[in-house]
Amino acid sequence: MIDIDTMISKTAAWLEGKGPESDIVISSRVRLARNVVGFPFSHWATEDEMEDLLNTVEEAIQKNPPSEKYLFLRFTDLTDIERKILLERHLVSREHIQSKLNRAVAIGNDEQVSIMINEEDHLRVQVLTSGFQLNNALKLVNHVDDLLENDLEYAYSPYFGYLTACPTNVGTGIRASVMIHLPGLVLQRQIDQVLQAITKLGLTVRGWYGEGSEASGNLFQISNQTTLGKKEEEIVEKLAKIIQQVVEHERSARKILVKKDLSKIRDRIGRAFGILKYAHQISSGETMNLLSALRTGIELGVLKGVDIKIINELFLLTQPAHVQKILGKKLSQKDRDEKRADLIRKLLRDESL
Amino acid sequence: MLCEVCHKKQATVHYTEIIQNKMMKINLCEPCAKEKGIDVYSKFSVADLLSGLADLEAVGASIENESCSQCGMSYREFKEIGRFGCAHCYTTFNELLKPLFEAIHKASRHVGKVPKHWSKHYSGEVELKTLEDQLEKAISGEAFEEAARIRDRIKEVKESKRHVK
Repeated sequence: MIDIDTMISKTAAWLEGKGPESDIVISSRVRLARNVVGFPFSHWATEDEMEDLLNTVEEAIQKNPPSEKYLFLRFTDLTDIERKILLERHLVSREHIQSKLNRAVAIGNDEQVSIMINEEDHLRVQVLTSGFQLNNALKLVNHVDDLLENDLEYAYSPYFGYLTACPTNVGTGIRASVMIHLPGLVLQRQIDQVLQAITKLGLTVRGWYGEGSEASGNLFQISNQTTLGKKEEEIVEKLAKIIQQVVEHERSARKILVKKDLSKIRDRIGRAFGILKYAHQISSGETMNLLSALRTGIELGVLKGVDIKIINELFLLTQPAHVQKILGKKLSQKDRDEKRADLIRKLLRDESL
Repeated sequence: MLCEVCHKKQATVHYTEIIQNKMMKINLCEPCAKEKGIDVYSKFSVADLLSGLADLEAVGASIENESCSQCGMSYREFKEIGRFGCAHCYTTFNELLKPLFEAIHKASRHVGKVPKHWSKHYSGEVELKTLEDQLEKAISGEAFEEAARIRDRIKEVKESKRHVK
């Protein structure tokens, strides 16, 4: 990977639709919050201090790269659209791109590893992988963390662990999460119950619906809430155990659904496919909804002949910044909706039910 | 659908969060969402916690006028922002940390990863001493499960100490 153009010509590794339970768990993510001794935390630092920190970290990354090839991007060298592309690809956080001064990200070869610099903490080291593989993500993120430590001295206390800007991250600095697709539980109206149980167990659930109707997405992000008082492995293990149960529930909900309402489900998926294949104007919100429906169809085995990779690719390519980057210019919303529809028609041209 | 806050702009952010076992849904326009600090990873309000819990408020009052000698952050600023200014703030506001971390994490001691540079020099003395204090407290409070856990940890620390030597 050499630059952003090369990057968007490929699907990110975490969207490959591979890995354990990938028909339900889209991706697994583990990130570590780290700060370097001798610098104020990024949100409290002056521009010069942030610049010094950025240079220090860049040097450490050069000496200990996350992969043989990697991309180091300073936000000042990027356009607004390019920064938003990084966000849409989950390589940086929304907070990270709020400003471009003295901020940067290092991205590993297949976009699995990203190291955000001068986010709220000096470093946010993240591993994002496809499917349900939290343990592998933890191993890899620990490895990258160990490498960086060859040249960085982290702020640490034997009592409180890794010291972070926000008290909610102190200790391990770990946030492990999965992005999970739960159409079965939503359609069976069991979702509230399941999510309540999850929060009672000390995890955080967030639904992130894109633009459009509220039924969109059926995507939920589940993560650990506390970071202190338990080992990294314990935190990840606990999350993994609970997710495994949610996966079982989703699986049985899907089975019942197919038994009970097969014709209705076929109808929904067929309609979604028809709109995507033939529309000439479509918002990113509607696209998300319809792609979610197609995804459900493939997961349930109702929709055959369409490759899940195409669906995943479309999830990314139809996001606003991606559409604009592909066309090489800023577009009004109306133009974007037209170009998005063109893009989808092109990609689905050879697909049929 | 219009934004539920300003009732003017189109709502494009549809946010769901579980608060006290209730699923809250809110539809906002982007400027309002930004103003509310709603993000994919919503923020836990440390500021609310600091003025909402009685024992935290009491400790806070006793350090009301402190500020960090390294980065200059005052307690008032910390309370407002909910973020520390630098690593040394953990020393400056030390008294506050135990109750604060207990409130957030239901724990106040790190037991996870140790940086390499630290483990090389680290003899475990500090940790042992704290653990022994905790053990005594757990036994006198008849929290035997907790005591057993601490005893295991003491064993581990002693073990790794020997390993370092």
